[in-house]
Amino acid sequence: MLGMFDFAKKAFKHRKFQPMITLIGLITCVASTIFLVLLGQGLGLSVTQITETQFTSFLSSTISQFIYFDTALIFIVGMVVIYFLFTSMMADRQKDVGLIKALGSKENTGYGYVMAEPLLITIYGCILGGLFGLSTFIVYSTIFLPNTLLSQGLTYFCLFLGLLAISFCASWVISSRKAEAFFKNTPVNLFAGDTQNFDFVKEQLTGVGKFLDRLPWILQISLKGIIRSRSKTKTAIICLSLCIFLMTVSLAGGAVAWWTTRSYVDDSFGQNVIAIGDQAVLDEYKNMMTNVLNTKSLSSFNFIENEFFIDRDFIEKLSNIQQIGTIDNRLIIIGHVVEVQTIEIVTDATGSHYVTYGQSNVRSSDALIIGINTNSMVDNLWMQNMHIDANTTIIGSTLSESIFDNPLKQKIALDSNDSNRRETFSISDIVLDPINQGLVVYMPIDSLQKLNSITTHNLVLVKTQDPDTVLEIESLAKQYGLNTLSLDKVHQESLSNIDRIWLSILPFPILSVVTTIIGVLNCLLVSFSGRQHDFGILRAMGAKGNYTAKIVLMESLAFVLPTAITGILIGMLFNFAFLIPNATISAQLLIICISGLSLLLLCICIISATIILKLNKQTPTNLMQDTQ
Amino acid sequence: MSNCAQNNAVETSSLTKEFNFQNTKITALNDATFKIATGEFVVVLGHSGSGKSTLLNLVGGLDKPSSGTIKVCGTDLSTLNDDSLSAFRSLNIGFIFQTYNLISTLTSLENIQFPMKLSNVVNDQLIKERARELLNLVGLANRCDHLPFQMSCGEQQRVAIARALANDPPLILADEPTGNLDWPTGKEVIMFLKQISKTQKKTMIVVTHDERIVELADATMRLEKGRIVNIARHV
Repeated sequence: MLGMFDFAKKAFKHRKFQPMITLIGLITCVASTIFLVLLGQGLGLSVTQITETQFTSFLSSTISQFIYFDTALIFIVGMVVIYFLFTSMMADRQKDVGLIKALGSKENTGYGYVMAEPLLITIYGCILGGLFGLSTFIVYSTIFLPNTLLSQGLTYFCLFLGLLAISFCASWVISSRKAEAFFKNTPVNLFAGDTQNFDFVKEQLTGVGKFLDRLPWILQISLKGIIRSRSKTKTAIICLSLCIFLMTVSLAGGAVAWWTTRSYVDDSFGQNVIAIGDQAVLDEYKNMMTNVLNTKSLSSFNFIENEFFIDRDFIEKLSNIQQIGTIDNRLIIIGHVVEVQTIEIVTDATGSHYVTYGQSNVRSSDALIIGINTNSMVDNLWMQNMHIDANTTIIGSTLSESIFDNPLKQKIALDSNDSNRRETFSISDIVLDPINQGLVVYMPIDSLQKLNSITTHNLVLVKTQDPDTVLEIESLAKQYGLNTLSLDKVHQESLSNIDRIWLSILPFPILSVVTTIIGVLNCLLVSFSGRQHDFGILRAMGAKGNYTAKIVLMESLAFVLPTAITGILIGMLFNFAFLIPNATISAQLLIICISGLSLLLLCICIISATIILKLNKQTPTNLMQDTQ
Repeated sequence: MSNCAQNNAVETSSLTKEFNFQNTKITALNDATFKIATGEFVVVLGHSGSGKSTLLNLVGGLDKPSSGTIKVCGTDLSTLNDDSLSAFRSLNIGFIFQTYNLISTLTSLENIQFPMKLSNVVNDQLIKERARELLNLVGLANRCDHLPFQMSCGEQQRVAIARALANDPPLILADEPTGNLDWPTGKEVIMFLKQISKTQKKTMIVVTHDERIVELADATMRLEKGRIVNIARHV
C-alpha cells in the first residue's frame, strides 16, 4: 500500500523543480534569519555597548534601531516568502487534492496525503537551514567576534533552538492552512484551477479588458495571465512588495543612516578648519571629537588653567592675515549642568491645570560647555532656525535624553567653575553633535565668560585652505607659545570611526539583499514553473525560445514594477519616518538609492527570465509533460 | 521554406526514438519509414504504447529522433535549428492534442489568435476576423469570450481544431482528437477534419486507437510495439 510519506516522496521526486525551489527558499530563509538574529544579538551587544557609552545617543539609536529592524524584517519577509512558496506548491497540487477528494478519501486520510510533502519539506528545510545558519554564524563569530561567542554561547544556543522552533511552527502553520482551505472546496472547484473565479464580463465592464486589448500582444498575454490568475497573483504581489520593502529598508535605509551619521560629523567639523590653542587643549579637544571607539571615560580636563588662555594681541595679529575669512573664538570648559524642573499652566476645556516637566530629584551631568559667538562660526552646525541669545543655550542630543524629560520646555542650570554661582538658561534647540559623545552645551561666549569670571578664551578656530596662510598662522601661533591642529585630519579620523561601525553592520544589508533576491527569484520561478505546460504549448505552436523568455520577462516586470513602486515608496517613508527621523540626505544619494534598487530588481527579472529560458531549452513534448 | 504541393507532405526514413528509463533503453519507435502524399487523410492506428504519439511528435518536430530523418513538405527537420524549427512549425504544422492544450488564462478567441501572432501577421483586425471566422467554422461563434474551463470537452476540442487551422498550415497532426469525446461528438470532429482535408487540400494525420475512424481514411498506418506493421491505402 502506498503510504502518505511514500506518496509525498514520489510527488517530490517527479515534480522536482518546484519542491526543490520551495526547499531552497525555506533553507535560505531559515539560515539567513538564524544567522542574522544571532549576529544581531552579537553585534547588538558589541555595537550598542560601544555606542551607548561613547557615542551620541542619536548615532547609537540609529545603529541599534537599524540592526533590530533589519533582523525583525528579515524574519517577517522570510515567513512571507515561505508562505508564498507553500501556497504556490499547494496550488499546483490543487488538482491532486480534488482527485483525492473525488476518490472518496476521508478528510483526515486525504489531508495526511496532501500534508506529508509540505511536512517533509518543512522538516528538511528547517533542519538544513538551521544548521547552515548556525555554522555560518560560528565561522563568522570565530573570526570577527570571538569574545562574544565564548561569553554568550548558551544564549546563542537557546536563541537558535527558539528560532528553529518558531521557523518550524510558522512554516507548518502556513502550509497546513492552505491545505485546509483546499479541503473545504469541492472536487469540481479544485479541478477548475485558479481561473475559476475569473469573470470576463466584469473585465470588460471595468474597462480593464479594453485597455489590455490595446496593448502589444506579448504584454497583453502576460498581463492577462497575471490578472486572470487572481489569487496566485495577489499572494505573489504581497510577497514581492514585502521583499522589496525589506530591501529598501536594508539597503537604502542603511545608506541613509550611514550618510546621516557622517553628515552630522561633517557639520560639526566644517571644512578647512584649523584649531589654535595650547597643545594640551588641542589634544583634549581632538580626543573629544574622535573618541567614538575609545573606551576612555568622559574627560575631567581643566580647560581654564591660566596658561591655556589666548592673548588678545594674538587675535588682533591673526585678523590682519588677509586669507582668513572668519575667526571663531571659543571658550571651552568642562562644567556641571543640572536640569531645572518647569511647571506650565495649561488651559483647556476642563479649565486650567499645571503640567510639570522634569524630575523633582533633579538630574545632573558633566558636560562640555562651549562658549561661541554665533556671528563668527566656522562649522555648519548652526542650521536654519537655530538661535541663541544671552539667556539661551543649545544642548547636545545625549545630554537632552539623559537629564531631561522635555528639554525645550525645561531649563538648564550651569554651575560656575568655582561652584559658588549657578545660573539658569532656557534651551532653544537640540543639536546632533558627536563632540564629547553629545554631552555638550553651546551658549554665548559672553555669558560663559561672565559665569566663570573669565574675560578671554582658550580656543580659536579659523577657516583657510591656502597653504601659505596655514604656514603664516603656524608661525604666528608659535610666537605666542600656541600650537595648531588641522581639524580635517581629525574629521577624517572621526569619519573612519563611523565607517568602521557601519562596516561591522554590513552583513545585515548584504544578507537581507541576498534573502530578498532569493525570495524574489523563488517567487518568480515558482510562478513560472506552474506555466511550464503553457510554454510547451506555445513552443508547439511555433513560439521561439526567446518568445517565451520575453513573456517571462514581461510577466516578471509586470509583477515587479508595481510591487517595486509600492515597496520602495513605503520603505523610504518608513526609513524617514521611523528608522532615521532626522535623516540628512542629498537628492543625489536618494536618486542613487532608488536607481540602485530598481537596477537590482531589473537584474533579478533578467536572471529569472534567463533561468526560465534555460529550463525551457527542452522539446515542447517534455515541457508539456507536467511531471517530467 | 517549404513546398508541400511539389513534395510528399511527410517522408521519413529509418525513424527511431529511444528513451532511457531507469537505466533501461526503451524503443518507442523503431525504424519507421513511410511517405504521406499531400492532401491525404491518414489514420495512424495502434494500441496504447505502440508509438503512435511518439511518431506524431517526431513528425511535428516536437521531439527529436534518436536516429533517422523526417522531411515535412520537402524540408529535412534535422537541418533546422531550434528557432528555425519553431518558425517552420508555426507556418506549416497545426497540432490538435488529445488534452486540447489550450492556454488556461486565455479566452477561446485569444487562443486562436495566438498562432497568427506568432507567425508575425501584423494586422490585428485581420487576426481577430480570422479567429472569429474559425470559431464560426467550428460552431462556437457565441463562445468567443469563454475561458477553457468554462467550455465542455467537445467545445475545447473544437477550439483546439480552430487554433490548428489558424495559420492555414498544409499539415495538421491530431493526437487522439476524439479520445475524450463520446462517439457521436468524436465522429462529428473527425468528419469535420475530413471535410477540411478535402476542401482545403490539407494533409491530415490522425492518431487514434478507434477502429471506427478507419472507414473515413484515405490511408491507414498500423503500429505495434514501435514498428509499422502495415500501411494500407483505400481507394
